Amino acid sequence: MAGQSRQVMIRINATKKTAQITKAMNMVSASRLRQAEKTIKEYRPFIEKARDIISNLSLSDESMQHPLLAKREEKKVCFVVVACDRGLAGPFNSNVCKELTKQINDLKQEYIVLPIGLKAYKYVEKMKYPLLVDKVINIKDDIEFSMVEDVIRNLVTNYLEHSFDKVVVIYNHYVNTLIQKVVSETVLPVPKIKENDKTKIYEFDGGVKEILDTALPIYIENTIYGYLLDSKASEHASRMNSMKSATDNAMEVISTLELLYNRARQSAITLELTDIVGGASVINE
Amino acid sequence: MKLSIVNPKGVIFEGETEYVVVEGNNGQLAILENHIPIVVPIKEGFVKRINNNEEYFYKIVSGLLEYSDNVITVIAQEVGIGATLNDAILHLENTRKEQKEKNYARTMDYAKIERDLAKNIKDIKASKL
Repeated sequence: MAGQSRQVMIRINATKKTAQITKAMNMVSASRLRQAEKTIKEYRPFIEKARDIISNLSLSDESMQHPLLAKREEKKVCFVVVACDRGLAGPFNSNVCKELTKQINDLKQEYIVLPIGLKAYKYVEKMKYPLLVDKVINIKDDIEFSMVEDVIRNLVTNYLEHSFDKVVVIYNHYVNTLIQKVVSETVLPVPKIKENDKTKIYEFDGGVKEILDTALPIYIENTIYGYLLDSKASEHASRMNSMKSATDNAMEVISTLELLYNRARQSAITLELTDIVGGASVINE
Repeated sequence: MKLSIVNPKGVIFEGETEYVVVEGNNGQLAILENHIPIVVPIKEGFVKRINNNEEYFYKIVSGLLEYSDNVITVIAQEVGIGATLNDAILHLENTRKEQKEKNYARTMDYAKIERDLAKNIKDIKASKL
């Protein structure tokens, strides 16, 4: 009996420790989420200005043509799947992976996949989908553009070399702390940006082509970077939620185990008491 | 004349300026009030803001300057700020370095608690409750 209650005590202590860790992870994620939200907020004016400039450009010159703008016959599609490097984030990783498989199954053309984040890479490897780059692209917290710069540039170069004719990004869109939605967006060819009403005629320093050569890559790179930021916020929110429920569950386990422990302790005491009372009554007789 | 410089990390500068000098892909040019609308690509260059004879430099990597209706908008991937061009370049390099170090430390912290958690989950035998 005593052995059993000791066993239960060990489990209670271990569960308490786990609850502490999950609670800490919940709090870490909450603060990271705030940080990620701040990053998105700071990033927004940039992409809005970039979008404005490009829409102004395409207005001022109707004949504006660029390989990144032109639609091609879709022979091969490149999927960019954005997941994260770590697990313990609820359905965050599996949702994007499921969406990828669904889209691949629906697709008639050839395809190639660029996974971003260790979990996405492992999934793609397991499913034996063709990989664009056969190495893990890590996506760390507090992502910086410089970390993903090469990957995105490589993607654009491959597109220009006709390695594929369309690029679709699948990622978790952050709606709020409780809701994250899997979204797929086409980034290449660059979808038509909604134009504003004002017509402006510009002088182009270095010619239209040079401007577009600079502006479009900046726009595309940052659009994808924006998706990564969005995905990062979703990751933290998702992890925060799952760690919250893990802590709650641990608390439940602790109360069940405490009940078990008290019962065992009580029955041990009762047994001892009956022994003593029994012994005493024998002496008295 | 209004000037705003933004990069993905936020608004770097927003305010009035007398005129700016920009070094784009095709050399330098100054933009004064009522210039015709212009777009300047900047692969690697700078924007100089002049206010009351004081100069401020913004080193720009991969950006674009747009001017129309007396509003200058500069979007840039990376920006370094300084009183001279060299200061601005130095500032840019330092920011890059700092960010790299900070990221490394953070990843390490997180990996450690995650390892502890995995061990604890194994210890409590939660599946055998």
